Amino acid sequence: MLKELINEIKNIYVQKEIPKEFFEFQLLEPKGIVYAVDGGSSIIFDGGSWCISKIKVGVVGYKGKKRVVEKIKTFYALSKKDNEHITTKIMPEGKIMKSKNLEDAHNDVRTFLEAKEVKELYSKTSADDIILVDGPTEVLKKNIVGVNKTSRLRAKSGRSLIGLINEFGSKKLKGKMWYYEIGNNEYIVKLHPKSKFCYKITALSKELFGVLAYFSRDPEIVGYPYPLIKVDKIARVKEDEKKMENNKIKLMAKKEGLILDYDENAAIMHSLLDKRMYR
Amino acid sequence: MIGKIVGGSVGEKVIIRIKSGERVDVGDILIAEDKETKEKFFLKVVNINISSLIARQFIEEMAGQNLESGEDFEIFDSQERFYRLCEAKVLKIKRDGKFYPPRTIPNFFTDVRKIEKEDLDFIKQEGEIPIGHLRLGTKKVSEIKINLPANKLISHHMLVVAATGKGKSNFAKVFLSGLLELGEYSAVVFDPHNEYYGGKGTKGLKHHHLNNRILYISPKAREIPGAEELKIHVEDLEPDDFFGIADLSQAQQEALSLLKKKYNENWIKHLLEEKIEKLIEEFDKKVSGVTFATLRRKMQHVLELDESGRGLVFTIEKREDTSIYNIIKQGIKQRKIIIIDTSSVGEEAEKIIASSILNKLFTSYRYAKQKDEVEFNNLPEVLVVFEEAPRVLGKEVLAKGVNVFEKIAREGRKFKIGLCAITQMPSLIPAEILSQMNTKVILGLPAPADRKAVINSSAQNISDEDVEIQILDMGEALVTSPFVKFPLPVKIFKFEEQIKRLQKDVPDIAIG
Ligand SMILES: Nc1ncnc2c1ncn2[C@@H]1O[C@H](COP(=O)(O)OP(=O)(O)OP(=O)(O)O)[C@@H](O)[C@H]1O
Ligand SMILES: [Mg+2]
Repeated sequence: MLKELINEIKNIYVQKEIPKEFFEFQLLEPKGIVYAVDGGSSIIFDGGSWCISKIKVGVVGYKGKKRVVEKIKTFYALSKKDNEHITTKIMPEGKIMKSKNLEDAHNDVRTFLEAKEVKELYSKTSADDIILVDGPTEVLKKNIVGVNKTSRLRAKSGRSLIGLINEFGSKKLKGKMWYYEIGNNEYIVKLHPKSKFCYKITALSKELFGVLAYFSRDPEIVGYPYPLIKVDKIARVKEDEKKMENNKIKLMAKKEGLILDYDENAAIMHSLLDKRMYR
Repeated sequence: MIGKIVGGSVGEKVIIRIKSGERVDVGDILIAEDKETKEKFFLKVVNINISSLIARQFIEEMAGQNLESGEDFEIFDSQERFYRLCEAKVLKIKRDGKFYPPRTIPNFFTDVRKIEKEDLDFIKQEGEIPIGHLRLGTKKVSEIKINLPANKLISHHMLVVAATGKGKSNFAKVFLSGLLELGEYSAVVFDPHNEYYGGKGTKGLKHHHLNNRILYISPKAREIPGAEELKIHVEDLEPDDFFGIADLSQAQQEALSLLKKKYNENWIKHLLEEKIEKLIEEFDKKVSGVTFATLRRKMQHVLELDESGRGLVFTIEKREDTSIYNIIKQGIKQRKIIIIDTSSVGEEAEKIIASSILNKLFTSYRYAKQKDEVEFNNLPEVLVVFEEAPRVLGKEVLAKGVNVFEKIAREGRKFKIGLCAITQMPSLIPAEILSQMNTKVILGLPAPADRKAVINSSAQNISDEDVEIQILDMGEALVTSPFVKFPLPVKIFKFEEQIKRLQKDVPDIAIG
């Protein structure tokens, strides 16, 4: 059976195209401040047909190796089903958003708030500053760069595009840093000569890759910009944080005479069953 | 603030994350103050580790690549990601102004700071004999003086241990200076190197401003004004003075007892001067000629007597005036510190001098206690200082029989007699004797066996201080005692400086 599987994979690995256009680049010292923006979000109370999420948007800024900016904004969102739509109210922002389903509502809110933060930050930065964003960026400006940790991009053969390009690039420019343009302001980039990984980067200017490389030499994840690692850490909604928020909400509601446990139990039952099924 | 509590357990250590740029050394005392419970934890640093949030594997890889190929890595936020963790043990907990044993530990994130003068206010109330400054890590907080309480501590015995040259004798001199200041205590110091009294070039207790309360006894007294001559008439010796001290067989010991019984105070004179045949006859052949002959030789040798029965210290001449024992007894009553210079006699003679003096001291104190409570209460606590203590308290000598040193170690406390045993090799002393030495002044001890002997016999748990004890520098000590709150790290005063200090502390009184 596995033999058959391998044969199928062979079909994916058929060489239909050979990437050739790899360009080497050099490390560049940053001139201005390099910022990283990232958000984290999670449902902290699930009432079955409605839920509350917590969303955090973090910003860090580095001048060389020194962190000069670190801030975090916290939001809550109440999502509920109205007819066919999910409407979400963001607090303290006040905006109301629509989503397709309840589970994803907090992700939509997070994406929106991240983009808003990037816009705000951009208006305050100078020309030498760079803003790194986790994932594709909606706001594309000369000094805004999106770094995608994962990509489902597919080559014609069916292979992972990043996998394919990494293989050829690493062989052709061994021990070097390089980029490969895939069009549409998107590149596959190797940010550290020793890194096993490449990332898809969205940017208007490939001149910034050298600065990204400067920040990608930290041993925690060699080849990935350190400011993004740091901002991910501070913006993440952690498991115990979730529990704490959940208790806080239930306690405050109880003081107002609202018992939320019944709704939550309905939802938990559903998720308990889910967990069993997928086990 | 220099750190925060990040973990630990009561049975083990507490773990403190140290703020970047802060220096902490093994041996430092830190304070963790719980803002909610208002408890103050006294912590002692026993170990320091470097740590990182980055997986070890990355660090090794990074170091390796940097070493092997000069590979260029950069660490961002290094101060928060690479840091030091220190392990500390809880010494004591202070709650509502009182001290409690370490039955709990501070909570997560409790602020940890260095110890300050105010935290140690209790030390001032702890005792009256100044011995040095608090030693924190390698630095000394010179304002904080450490005092030991004389009362009880003396009669509960002391052990001063260190490798050679680390400052044992210096400590003893400093301690005796403090004792002298108090005026209520007495001491008898056996000084095999003649270093306690002081001479032309060297500072000693005679340079103390209260030197009128020092009694110096030396074979060379004639050259020293105010000194008493160390002269012992053998008529004042008892067989007991030899037992457990001189190398005597069972038969020889019995013979000594018989001699004493028969000739009273003239027992040694007879042993030395009577014809052997006569002795055999007088004792109905209960003692062999060989035994008498051997004893005679040993006696001459141990007491360092010449053909005529005279020596530097001992003599068979009849005593005409008051004995040295009486002089010592009077000195003790007057709360004097008595220094007995044994530097010019051999080791055997020295031990007999000491044991005869101590036997008489012990007997008179015990007698007073049993017969005359008022007199006993008037007697001062007395400290017996003995250098190279294994000579009289070693496993080997004690195997030959009980001597007065062992008697004092075991029961001296009841009679207000304390022993200050000084040694380089505590491992030679039996463990039960070591544990009788309640206060231990531990200076640097490099030999593992000696450290083990001291650590195992301490009332306070100092097993975590093994490394600290090993690396103590000259004059640096760890003082453990049931009479201090916790084992105290001390930089002992240099004697020469301390006597100057004591002199200055005395108010000048205009006379006339
Ligand atoms: N606390 C101290 N501060 C400064 N110097 C000291 C201190 N203690 C000892 N010293 C110096 O170290 C030297 C040795 O000290 P000391 O004679 O007390 O050592 P010891 O342990 O008695 O040695 P030994 O084994 O030879 O008897 C002396 O010169 C003394 O001045
Ligand atoms: Mg000495």
